[in-house]
Amino acid sequence: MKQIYILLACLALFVPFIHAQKVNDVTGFVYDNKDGEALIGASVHLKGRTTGSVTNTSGYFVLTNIPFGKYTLQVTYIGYKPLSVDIEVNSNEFKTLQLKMTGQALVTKEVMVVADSVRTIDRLYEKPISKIDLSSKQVNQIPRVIEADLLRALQTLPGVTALSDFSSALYIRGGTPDQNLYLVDGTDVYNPEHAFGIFSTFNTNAIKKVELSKGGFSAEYGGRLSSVLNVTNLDGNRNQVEGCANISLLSASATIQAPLGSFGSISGSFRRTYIDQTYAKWNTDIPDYYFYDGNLKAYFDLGEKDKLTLSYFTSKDNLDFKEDKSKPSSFGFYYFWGNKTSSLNWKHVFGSRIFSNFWATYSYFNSDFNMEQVNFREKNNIHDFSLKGALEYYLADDFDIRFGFEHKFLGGALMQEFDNGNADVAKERTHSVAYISSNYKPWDALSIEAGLRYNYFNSDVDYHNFEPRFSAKLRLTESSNLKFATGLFHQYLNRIPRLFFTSIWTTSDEYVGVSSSQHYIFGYQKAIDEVYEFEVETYYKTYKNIYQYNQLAFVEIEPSGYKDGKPYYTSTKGLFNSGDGESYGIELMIRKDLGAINGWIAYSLSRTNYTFTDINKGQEFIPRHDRTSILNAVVNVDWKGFLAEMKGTEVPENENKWLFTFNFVYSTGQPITVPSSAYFLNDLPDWNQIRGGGEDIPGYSLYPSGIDKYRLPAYIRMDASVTWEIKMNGWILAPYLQVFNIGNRKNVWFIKYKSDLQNGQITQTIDKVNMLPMLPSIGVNIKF
Amino acid sequence: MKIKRIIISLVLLGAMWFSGCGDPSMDMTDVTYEPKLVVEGYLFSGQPVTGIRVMRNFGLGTPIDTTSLYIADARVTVNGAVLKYNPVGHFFYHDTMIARPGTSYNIQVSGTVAGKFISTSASTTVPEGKYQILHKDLGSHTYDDSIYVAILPTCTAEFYAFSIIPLTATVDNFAFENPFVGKQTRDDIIKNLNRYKYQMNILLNVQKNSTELIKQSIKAFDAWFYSQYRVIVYGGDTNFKNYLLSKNVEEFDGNFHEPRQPLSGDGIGVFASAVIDTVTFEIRK
Repeated sequence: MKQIYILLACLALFVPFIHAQKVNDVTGFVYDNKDGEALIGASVHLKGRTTGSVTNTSGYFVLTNIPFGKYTLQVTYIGYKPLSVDIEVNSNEFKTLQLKMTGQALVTKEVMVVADSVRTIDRLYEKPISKIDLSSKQVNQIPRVIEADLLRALQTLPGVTALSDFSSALYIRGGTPDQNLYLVDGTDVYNPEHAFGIFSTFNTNAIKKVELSKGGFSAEYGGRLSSVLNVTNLDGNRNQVEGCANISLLSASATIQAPLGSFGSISGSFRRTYIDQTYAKWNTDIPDYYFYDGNLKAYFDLGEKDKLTLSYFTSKDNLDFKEDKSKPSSFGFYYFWGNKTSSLNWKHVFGSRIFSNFWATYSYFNSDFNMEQVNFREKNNIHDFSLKGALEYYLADDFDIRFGFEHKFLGGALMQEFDNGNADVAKERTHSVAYISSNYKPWDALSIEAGLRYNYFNSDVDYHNFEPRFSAKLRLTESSNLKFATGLFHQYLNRIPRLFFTSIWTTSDEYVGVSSSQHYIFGYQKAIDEVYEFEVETYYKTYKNIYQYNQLAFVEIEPSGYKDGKPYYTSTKGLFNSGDGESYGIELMIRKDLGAINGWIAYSLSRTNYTFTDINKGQEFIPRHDRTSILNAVVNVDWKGFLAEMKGTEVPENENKWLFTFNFVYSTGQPITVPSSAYFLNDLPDWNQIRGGGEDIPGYSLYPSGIDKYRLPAYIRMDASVTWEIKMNGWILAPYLQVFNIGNRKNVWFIKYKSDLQNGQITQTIDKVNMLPMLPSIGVNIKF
Repeated sequence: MKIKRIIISLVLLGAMWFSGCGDPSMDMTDVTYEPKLVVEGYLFSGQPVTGIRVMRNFGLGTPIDTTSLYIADARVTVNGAVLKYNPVGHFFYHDTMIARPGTSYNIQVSGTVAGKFISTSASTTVPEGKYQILHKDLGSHTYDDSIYVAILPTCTAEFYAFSIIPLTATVDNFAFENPFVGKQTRDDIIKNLNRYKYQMNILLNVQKNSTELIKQSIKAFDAWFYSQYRVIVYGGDTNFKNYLLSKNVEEFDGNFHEPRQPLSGDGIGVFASAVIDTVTFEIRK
């Protein structure tokens, strides 16, 4: 902290010098008039002046060095009526404006909305390369597997790959899910998964904004090789009580927001599945399982310069399995896991030009598995207490500096107890980060951002790593932009994914080194007819020293020592295979957010190669998450709005709506390793399984071919949904019908090899195991 | 113009829907078959070198005659000595060679599989010393009792495998009261009898030459029949462990990975050594 104060003091020296002239800065916050939420990315400028500003993640803006005089301040934001405010700059007094914008429907009057808003190409220009924003509404509109899911919605974006229908994990530009940084209100979240990864823990009704950076991100972010998913939850409505509820076939959820007098707001949401209380009571084959998640967020407006936010999130999955529920002694196990996060965020304006954000965050994940009948117990946890600071110093309209720090106290423990041994791994690490990044606009058409991030990771071995970052944006024409970004990224965490078990995180240590990745990204953007956004991005990524869980870890792991003659394990030696890799590809996306018909079409062509010492005999191979081609299309249709557009009329704001959404995905099949031959060997010398009896032949074994040399058939799926939005007395009732995989395509999940023995002849056959069939679901959303 | 756009959109929507239907076929005929010699060879401390089997692998999808598994004309040598073939038991043996504790043995195998002459080799070192079993007859028990094999691992083996086999295994003496049976029916048992009959337990990373007692439980899922049982305890070397633990290369999601097998060249299988002893017990109603 001491260093930060010194830095702030140095920067403060500049401020009086600048203010010696008859100029002052115009600063302020931009809020939504309806609920008081800060508007991120609103465009602010003074009429008659060329330079302007864009609100940051807290809705704050600065216009520097404005000569004394009278001005009209204009604020524009997509989906909001433009705001004009007359202001007078006549003294050196520091004052922040509190500006409130009023929303307007995006689905009608497309031309008017466009004309009133900031230009599409300007919005595209302001956006960092490889960054995609989604609103809560967009996330909720996409047809889903029973339950609205943030991560599954992100799987419809270019460069984001899904492994199967059963996984909400994100594989971004060739990276693995552990290479994604998940931030919720500034807090790192580990294992954000329900139901072994089928659903994610993010409650979509509580989300205010989602930002996904697919690569080349600035020095502000780090600690992961591939991407950053930044989720901001609702602060809460500051003007009136507002709420929504949802009932689906799987769960029920509710979100409520309310003002806290005149000084703040509060929002809370809760979701719980009810299978254990319904289906599981009627059908004893269904295990007793439920999950819940909930979050609470309070926002306090402590004055013009100080805002305080407190947030808390909790989730839990609970599985109580019994093979035969009618027999108390039947085989079974108990398993629960969950997350708890909390954060305290203080926003403070140090003078007009220094905006600061300070966080204290805590994230905790734990799991507990107990299979008493076989004396096996596992407890796993990871905890992360972080102190962070991020400061923005606006030296001029064309030059700002961002700098900050982060200090993490990171720890994890894995305890396994079993007959004749135990694992007891408890590690405590610290990770310190400092970064600085400057954004300079040499002229209106060019913007350059250069930054440096320094990491100190304290483990069994100390790691010091510098990460240079650079990006540039160029306005190519009146309707097109060119972008470039490059950067070096380091990661000190590795995840051990386990099927039907929660993932275990390990850190870099004496056996597992630090991983690194270099990104090179070129992008081209074009605004078409002010309504369509067209983006092309091509990238090349290298990976050095990346880790993949060793499928034969249990063969190779060595004990750290012996206690009472039993081995115990405390190190990561043998857990991972290590190697290098590369990913490259091109992504195209055309997106339309306005009008009665909106959505996006995305195509990506990519390739990832790995070279690991102990896999595929050291030869290059394609990892299983590689997909050569992926085509996504998400189309939302407001039927009445569409008819009105056809007729050239308008739909009254209180009119009921029919909303249709279609989601289509085509993907090259998953690479797989198939067997090349079959052979017969008994497991143990005294066994004679081949002629042992019964129909199955355990002595029959398969020998693999080259790693991931074959591919499953292409994955194709179309989903559809229809929602009837009924408006009455300020309430919105929206029953919906969604059909996942409406064509009932039998997409192959994996293949199984079977053998049959008859009259001394063994015949071999292949069985396909398919992913989800056509899956209709119904539910209702209620808003008030 | 608008009508034209609508028609194009509807055609595209229909095309997407249509392409999202169907049942894609899996054609695995282009998987290349590579002939391999399949070796099953174990050396037991202090016992003659015998029982070494040499077989072949088969291409996927081809019918396999289980009587044509063995490569009788293979050439097999251990530490340079040529082994003889026993056509009745389908194994190779040496008349005089004894597996000595602490001694390394190298096997060389060559033969013709699918018209291709191929060869493979591997080495194993027989564990030194002998572990001790405290009680070789564990007595008669019900499912409620605790049964365990107690071992003093006074040898260099760090890996133990327990082969648990009932002397009588039919559906008639199957223990449906076993808490792990769940909802299995009589027909299920008949169908999977082999799976219930052969059971094993393993102990990994045992401290070698230790005088600390190790207790290995026999649990309900190790013994599915009301019968006398024979437990052979193998104190194996690294080859034994690697073969046994990595033999199953099929993952839950149908994907495959590479095994850790000791045979180099065109070989699949095991050439390992172990110290062995036997325990007995009974499960009664």
